Amino acid sequence: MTSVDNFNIDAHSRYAIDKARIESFNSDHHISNPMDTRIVSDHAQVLDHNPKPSAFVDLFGVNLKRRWAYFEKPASFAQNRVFFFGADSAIEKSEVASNRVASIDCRDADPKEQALRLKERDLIENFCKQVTGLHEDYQHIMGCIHKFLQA
Amino acid sequence: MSRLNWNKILGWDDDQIEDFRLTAFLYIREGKYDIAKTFCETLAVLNPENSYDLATLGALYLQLNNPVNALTYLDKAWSLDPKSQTIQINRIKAMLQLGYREEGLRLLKSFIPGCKDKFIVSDAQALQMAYNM
Repeated sequence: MTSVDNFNIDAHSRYAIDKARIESFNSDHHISNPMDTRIVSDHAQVLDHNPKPSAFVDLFGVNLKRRWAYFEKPASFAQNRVFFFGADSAIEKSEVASNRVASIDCRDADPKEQALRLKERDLIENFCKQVTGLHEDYQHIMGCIHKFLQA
Repeated sequence: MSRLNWNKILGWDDDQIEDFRLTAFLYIREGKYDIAKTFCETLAVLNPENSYDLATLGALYLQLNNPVNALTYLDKAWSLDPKSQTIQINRIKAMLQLGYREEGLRLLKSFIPGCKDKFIVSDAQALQMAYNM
């Protein structure tokens, strides 16, 4: 154990070295008066930018990524039907449907009805595009898995 | 909704619609609400009288912090299936988010005793505590 006795230095010199160290620490941390150390905790609180959850967030566990809304399972969930990306699946038919939607004549005598038809057509077209994009992503992933298994 | 029968035009049968429904739910489970929203919006156009599709779209709007649209679809779903506890709790949440505090609390008071799902009951009680303060 290191002490003044076996440190090969006398007590006065050791005191002077320690004092110099403390002063340099205080000047580095802008603490002019040693009594000011008590304000450090206050500064730390102010500088703590970590967001604190509100009582509402705590109560409902929103920060735990719990769902706010409730979602019910579809009736077919228990059947475990996942034909979406398979052969002769909905995705293949949606590509055919995408071409069919574009050729639909949405004209109607009633302007309100016509606006509704156009809105619905855009929605379905957008959906078909998204489904095609998902299909491409799926094929890419399947290709990567296939390559990995062959290597 | 327009008078067009989109299912007939697009050649989609019940199996395809069920696949879309299931896929939408799987995206919801993964937290991919934006992708699921496109699916549910299309399903609501294809089946305007299906309470499940309308309720899921309403719940998605609620989850995505759009209580106005959520309440519109949840009210439609509620008129088709007034016994659904899931639709009712989502409706109450949308109302409370929109500031209809008294109406929401009144509905909660009558909803809790009749609800059998313990998770929904505990959520409803937490809502009651939060909005009664």
